[in-house]
Amino acid sequence: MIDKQYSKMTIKIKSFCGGISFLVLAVLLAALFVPAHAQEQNKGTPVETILPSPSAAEVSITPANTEFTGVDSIFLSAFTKKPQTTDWIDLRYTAKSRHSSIISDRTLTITLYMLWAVIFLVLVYTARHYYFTFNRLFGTQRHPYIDIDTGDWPTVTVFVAAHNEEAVIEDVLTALLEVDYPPEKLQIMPVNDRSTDRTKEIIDELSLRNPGRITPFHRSEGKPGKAAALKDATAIVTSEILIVFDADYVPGRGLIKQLVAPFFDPENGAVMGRVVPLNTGSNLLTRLLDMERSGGYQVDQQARMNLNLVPQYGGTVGGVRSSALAAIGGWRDDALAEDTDLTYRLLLSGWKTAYQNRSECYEEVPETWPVRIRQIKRWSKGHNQAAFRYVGKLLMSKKISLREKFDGLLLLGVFAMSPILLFGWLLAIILFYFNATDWLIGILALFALMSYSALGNFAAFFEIGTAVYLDGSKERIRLIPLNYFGFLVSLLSISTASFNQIFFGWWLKREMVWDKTARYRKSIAKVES
Amino acid sequence: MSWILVFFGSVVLLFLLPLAPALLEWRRKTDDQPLKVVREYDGNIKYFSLRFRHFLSENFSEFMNQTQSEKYQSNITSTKGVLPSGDAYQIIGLEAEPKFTPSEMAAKATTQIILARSSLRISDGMFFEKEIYASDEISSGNKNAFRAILADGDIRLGDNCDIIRWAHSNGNISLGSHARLYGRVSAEGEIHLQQQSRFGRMYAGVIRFGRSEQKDVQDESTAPHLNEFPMPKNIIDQAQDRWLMAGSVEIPAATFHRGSLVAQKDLTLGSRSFIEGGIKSRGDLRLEANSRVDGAVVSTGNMYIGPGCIIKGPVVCEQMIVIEAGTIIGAPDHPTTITAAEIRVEESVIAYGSVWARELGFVSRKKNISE
Repeated sequence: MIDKQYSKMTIKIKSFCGGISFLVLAVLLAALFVPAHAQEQNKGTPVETILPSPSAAEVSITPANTEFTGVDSIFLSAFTKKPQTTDWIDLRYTAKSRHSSIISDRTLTITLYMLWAVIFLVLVYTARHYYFTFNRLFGTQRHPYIDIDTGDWPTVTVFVAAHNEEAVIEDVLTALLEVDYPPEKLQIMPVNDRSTDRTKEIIDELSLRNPGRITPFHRSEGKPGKAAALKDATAIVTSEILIVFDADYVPGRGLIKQLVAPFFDPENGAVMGRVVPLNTGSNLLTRLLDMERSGGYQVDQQARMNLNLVPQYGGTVGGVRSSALAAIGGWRDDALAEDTDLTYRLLLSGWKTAYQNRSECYEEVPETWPVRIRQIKRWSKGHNQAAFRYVGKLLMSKKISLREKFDGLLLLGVFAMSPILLFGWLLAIILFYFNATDWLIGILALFALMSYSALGNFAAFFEIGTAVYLDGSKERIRLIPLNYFGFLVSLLSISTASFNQIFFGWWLKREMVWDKTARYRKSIAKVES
Repeated sequence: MSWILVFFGSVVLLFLLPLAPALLEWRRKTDDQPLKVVREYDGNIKYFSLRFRHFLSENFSEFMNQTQSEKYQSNITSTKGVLPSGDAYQIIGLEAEPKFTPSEMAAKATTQIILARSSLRISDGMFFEKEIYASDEISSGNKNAFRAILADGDIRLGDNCDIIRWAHSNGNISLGSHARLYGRVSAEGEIHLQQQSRFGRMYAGVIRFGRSEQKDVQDESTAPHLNEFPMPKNIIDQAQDRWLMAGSVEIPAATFHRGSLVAQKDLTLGSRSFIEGGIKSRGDLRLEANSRVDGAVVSTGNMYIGPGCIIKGPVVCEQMIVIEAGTIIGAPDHPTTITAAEIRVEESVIAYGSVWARELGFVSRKKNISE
C-alpha cells in the first residue's frame, strides 16, 4: 500500500490558498462588524460592565434587563437582549446572575471558569489533530523496521483469542499456517475460552491435520475475558515474542515477520500493526467506520510513531515481548481494555510500542448500531479505567520524556472528552440563560467562533480525510459529513458509558463481562488479493 | 406566512446542500471496496525475478524446458521474433553474443528481450531497455546499462555498469568499479562490489565490498579477559537483562556486558568491547575499532562502525551508517539485515544477508569515507 499518492507541492499550495482565503474572509467580516458595532455604540445604547475592563469604560446598568424572578422567567429572559459594552475585545472573569434566586453570581462565575477550561481542552485536542495530520502530510515518516527481511528470527507464539468463533476460526488458522516464518520457531496457539459452539471441534480437527503446527489451548474455567485467557495461555509458553490475533483476522504471508521485526530493537516491548476493515461495503455504518479506522491508524498512530510519542498497542494484530511482559507483571485480567493497560504499563517501565503502518490485516467492523455502541462503550470504559490508574504514575515517571508524558496524557483523555464536551455544552446553555451579559463579546467572539467552526470542528474530519487520501481512496471522502452523525452517536454512547462506569462500576461494583464484538462472516471466505 | 416558509425552506436547503455529495455516494456506492491488502506479498527481494521467470515459462516454454544437451547443440543459432504483446525478443545461440540492428548500434540501445541458451557475452556501451536472461553465465564489458538481468549462472559486469530495476543470479554477481545499482540485486551465492559503486537493496549469502578476506571471529574465550561493564549511575530501568540509561552513555574500551543496552541519547562502545545482547541509542551510536555485538545494533540518529567490528545484527539506523574496513556483519549461518537511509561502506567490509540503503548506498575506498 502506498503511503503517499499525491503531489506534496499541490497539497502545500492548496493549504496555503485555503489559509489565505480564510484570513481574507475573516478580515472582510471584521470590517463589516466593527463599523456596525461602532455605529451601535454611537446611538447611545445603554451598556454595562461587570468588572473594570482594560479601557475602564464606565457603564450604567438598567435593572430591567439584569434581574428576573421566577422559574418561568428563565426562558423569557432568553428573549431579552443582554447589555452591550464599548469594548471590542473583552473576556469575562466574573458573571452576574439574572436569576440570583436560582443561581448565585459566585456559582455562575465558577460555571464560566469551567467553560473556559472545557474550551481550552477542546482546543488542545484540536491542535493535536492538526499537528498529527500535518506531520503525516509533510513530516518525516518513520518506518525503521519495515526493511528487516533477514535475521535470526526469535521464537514466536501466535495467540488467536476465540470465544464462539466457529464462523471464522478456520480462516485465521489456515492463514497462519501459510505465513512466511521459520516453522520451527512459530507456535500457533488458538486460545478457546469456553466456547459453546463448534469452535473447539474445528480447532482440534485442524490441529490433527497439521501435526506439530497448532497447539490448542482450551479453557473451560477461570475468570472470563480475553486478558484472563491470554494470561493462562502465556503461563505455558516459552517463546520470546507473543503475537495476538482476534479470530476474525486474516493475516498475510509476510505479516508475522513484519510484526516481529521491531523486536530486534531492545527498546521495544510491544508492536502494533494496522487493521483494515474487510466488510467495508456492507452498509453506511461500515463505510463510516472504515474511514474512522483510517484516520486512527494511517494518521494518528503513524504520526505518533513519527514523532516518537506513544503509539498504542491495540490488542490484536500486535505483539509483546515476553520478557517485557514478565517485567511489568504479565497480563492484567482486571483490565477492561488490556491493550491500553499494557501500553501504559510498558511505557512506565521504559518499553516502547512500535507501530507498523504497512503491516496490515483485515478485520470486521460492526454492521449494526447496537453492536457499534456496545463496542465503543467497552473501549471508553477501558480507556477511562486506564486513565484513572496511570495518569498519576505517568506524570511522576522519570523514565518517560516530557513529550511522551504529554502525549500519553492526551491519549488517556481521549474518551473522557465526550462527556466533558457535553458538559461544556450544558455550561454554555446555563450561562446563556442565567448570565446577565454575554461571556464572550466583540471581535474576539467573532474570531473565536469563526476559527472554531472553520478549523476546530473540522480538525477530526481533516484527519480522516487526509487518511483516506493517503490510502489512495477518492469517492468515499464525500461521506465525511455523515461522520458527524456517527460522532454524535459516539458522543452520547461514551458519555453514557462513563456515567455507568462511575455509578455502577465503581460505586455499585458491578462485575464486568467479556462483551465480544459480533462476527458477520458466515462461511470460509477467500480473501481476494 | 409564506415568507416564513421560504425562510425555513432555505435554511433546510442550505443545511442539506453540503450533504448532497455524501448522500449521492451513499446511494451509488462507487467506492465501497475494502482497501487492498496483498496477502501474498512477503517482501521477497526476488519477487520481480520470479515474476520474470514465470513470464519466460509462459511465453518461451520450449526454450525454458530445454535439456542441458539441447542447449549446447552447435547447430542452434540466434532467432528473433515478436511476442503477441509487441515486445521484440532475440534468443541467442552458442555464439553467445546478441546481434543488434544498425539503428540499435547507432542509438546504443536495444528494446529486445535477450534470452541466451547458454552463456551470454555483452561488449561495451549498450543500454538494454528490456530484460535479459541466460541459462548460464552473463559477462559484460564496461559502461552497459541494464533494465533487468536474470542468470542461472554467474553475472560479471565491467566498470561503470548500471542496473536499473533488478538483477538476480543463481550463482554469484560481481561488478566492476563505479557500478550503479538503482534497483534490487540478489544472488544465491555472492555479490561483490568494487569501490565507488552505488547500491540500493541487495541480498546474497555473502556481500563483499571491495577486496576482503575472511576474518576470524573474535574467540569467545577472550570475553572473560575483558572488564565487566559496571552499572552506570544514570540507569533508570534494569528489568530482564536490559539496561535503560538516561542521557548519553560511553562504554569503556575492553569491556564486556551480557544483556542489552539502551541509551536515551548517544551511545559509544569502546574498542575491543563485547556486548552479548543488543544495543540501541536514541541519538548517535558509535562502535570503536574491533568491538563486537552479539545482537542488534539500532540507532535513531547516525551510526559509525569502526574498523574490524563484528556484529551479529540486524543493524538498523534511521539516518546514516558509516562502516569502516574489515567489519563483518552477520555470519554464514546467521544472515542478517543492514538498513539505513544512507549506508557508506569502506572496502573489505563483509555482510551476510540483506543490505538495504533506502536513499543511497556507497562503497568507498579505505579511509576516504568523506568522498
